[in-house]
Amino acid sequence: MSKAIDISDWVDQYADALYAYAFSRVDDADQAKDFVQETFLAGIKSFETFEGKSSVKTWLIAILKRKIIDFYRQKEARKTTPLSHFFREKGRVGHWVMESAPQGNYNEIENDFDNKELQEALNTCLSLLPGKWKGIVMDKLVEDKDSDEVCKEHDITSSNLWVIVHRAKLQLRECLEKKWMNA
Amino acid sequence: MSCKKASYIIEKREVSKISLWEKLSLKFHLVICALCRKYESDSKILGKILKSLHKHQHETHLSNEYKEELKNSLKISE
Repeated sequence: MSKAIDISDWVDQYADALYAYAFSRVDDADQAKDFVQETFLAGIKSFETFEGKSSVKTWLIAILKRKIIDFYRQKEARKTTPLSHFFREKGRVGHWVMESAPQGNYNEIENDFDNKELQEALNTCLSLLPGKWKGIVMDKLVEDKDSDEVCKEHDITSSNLWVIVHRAKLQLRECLEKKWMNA
Repeated sequence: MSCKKASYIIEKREVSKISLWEKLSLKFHLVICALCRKYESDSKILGKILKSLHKHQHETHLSNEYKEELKNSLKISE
């Protein structure tokens, strides 16, 4: 090994960041830990080819991202609520289905964003999204990354992004309304 | 415009530029559709709550015990 790696130092410096990133995307502590370990292993293996163009942390996060994307490619969960759940397909086509129409009561929580239970409810709703959407939603809607960057990273077109954001928001809005407002 | 399309444009607008035509037809639809006005309001607030999750993400940590375990297992595999 020509370049020396201080593994203890890597774990001390980067494990939390990698874990927080993984956990926010897989919602499973054990799975997230596995990802952290696999990322370090891959990092140790390919450190030779690391050119130092970015920081080690950025480089490791990039490895982790690929692993999470591959993971979801392999086991794409079918958790998609069909559009027909929200919008009528008969009669007034494209109009809201009454039972799932927005109640417009989110303004009741406007000043209570830091509420722990609200955050937990939202995290549960996020975990119910299809895996592929989850990473995109975290990057775009939670971390507010640049849209072009998100598309590139997830290998989707901008119209894919609009469709996914639309579907995900419809699903999240209804989920949180049920879990939080009507609780 | 249908509510399906209107809600799509409401979301598209959050992540991208929309055309003048989309802007105008959405505006017109919102004037006549109370449910989509509710959707627009809910969606905006939901967007803010989602962004507020970000700062709480950094509160996620691994225990020191686990880190030691990890160091050992990585050293063995090296």
